[in-house]
Formats: sequence, structure tokens, C-alpha cells
Amino acid sequence: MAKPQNHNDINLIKSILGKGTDLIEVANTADSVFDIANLIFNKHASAVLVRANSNKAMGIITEYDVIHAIRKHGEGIMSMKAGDVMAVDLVCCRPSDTLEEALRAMNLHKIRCLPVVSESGNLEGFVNINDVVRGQMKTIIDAWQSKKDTKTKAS
Amino acid sequence: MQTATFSDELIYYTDPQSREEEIRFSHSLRCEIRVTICETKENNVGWKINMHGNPRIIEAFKREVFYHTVEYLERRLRKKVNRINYSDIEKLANAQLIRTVSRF
Repeated sequence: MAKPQNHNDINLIKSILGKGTDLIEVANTADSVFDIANLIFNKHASAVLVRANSNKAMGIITEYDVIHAIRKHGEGIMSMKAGDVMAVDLVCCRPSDTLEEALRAMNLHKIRCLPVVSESGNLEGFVNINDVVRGQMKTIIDAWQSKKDTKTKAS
Repeated sequence: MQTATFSDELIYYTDPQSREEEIRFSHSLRCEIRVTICETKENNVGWKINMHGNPRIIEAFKREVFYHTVEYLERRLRKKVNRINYSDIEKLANAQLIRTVSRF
């Protein structure tokens, strides 16, 4: 992950990418939904990347996908595989997007985890709402601190 | 915000002769039928599935190809077919393809 180059970078997605506590786990398309739920619970992960046997990334499963599948299929969920419930299409952000834009997208689409995809189509990671809010808070505190320092120097 | 996808089965295609834009669906069925989806005002949903190829093959497989295409769209959009608009399909075709994954 690239380190922030200048002060303006602090407010960008790339500045928080990989710094959060959010772990990304990998599962197989043949894994059961029950296994995925266990993985999400035990590892405190927001999203699980689903791969085929060929190692090709096929989709992701979030907590919401599991809940949505339970609501839709009821008890039948126990016999379902990761490949049946994974999301193939994702709302995503760019590493160069601001934290504010990411928060707005999360609010608009009612999601708590946002994949970060570069312009070249590389999935660079995920940011969750906690990481974004923490980043925003840091930006606000830094701005407030620098304003306070300027005032102190002036007086 | 962008939309990204792991699936590259729906792509935009511009016909070099007619210059008409259509969405191509690369189905996984083992029959030589080219499937395209285009906007129309002929029905209530606002889009239709076209099949191109040998008329005999189309006649034999059109039912399977139709259901396969509809099932695919319903699965990706998580909507019933009568609630799918052409703009939904366009969004799928416009989504950026995730080619590589790093940091895993």
C-alpha cells in the first residue's frame, strides 16, 4: 500500500487501506453457507472472498448476503454453497476517492463494507465503515490541532 | 461511485455495419447461438433477448437459451425478470471487470 504523499492524501481511501482491523478471509465456491457464517463470526470479517478451484476470484460474501440468503431460502440454506449466495457485482470505490465519498456511498447503498478497486481492475482490499469513520475523525482532529497551533503561534 | 464485477459474461458490442449498440451475453451452453440483449418498446419490460445463428439450432435450443439467460440475469440482479429494466442490464455491462486481486 502506498504511503500518504502529502497532507491531502490523508483524506483519501488509500490512506486507510489495510490499516483497519477488518480481516479479509478467502473461501471456496464449494464451501457451505454455514462454513462462511462461521468464518465471518470467528474472524470478525466483513467480507469473504470466494474463489473457484482454479484460484480465480468469483465473488464476495458479506454478512448481509448470508442474512439475505437465510431470509430467502429458510432452512434450505444449510444445503447451499458459497457459490449460490455470493455477490458477483459490487458497489466499489477507488483508492483515490475521498473518505467522504465512501461514507456517502455506504449510506446510499446501505452497506458497511466497500471494496476498493483500482482503475486497472485490481481489487486492492476492503474498507469498512469503522475504518472510514476513524479516518474522518483523524482528519477532523488534525485540522483542529493545526488550527489551534497556528493560533498559539500567532498569539 | 463505481460498480465492479467478477463476471465478464455481459459486454457492450457495437455492430460495425449497423452501428447499433447491443449487449452480448456469453452463455455457457454448448450450442452455437449468439445471444444479444437490446432495448425495445414491443413489450412491458423494455428489453428483449435476440438469438443469432443457424435457424435450426435456434429452433431446437431457444427455450433452454431463453431460460438460461433469464436465470442468469435474475441471479446477478437479484430481481424477478418482470422487475428488470434495460438500465439494470446496462449497468451490469458497464461494470468494471475485476481482473486481479491483491493483498489476500
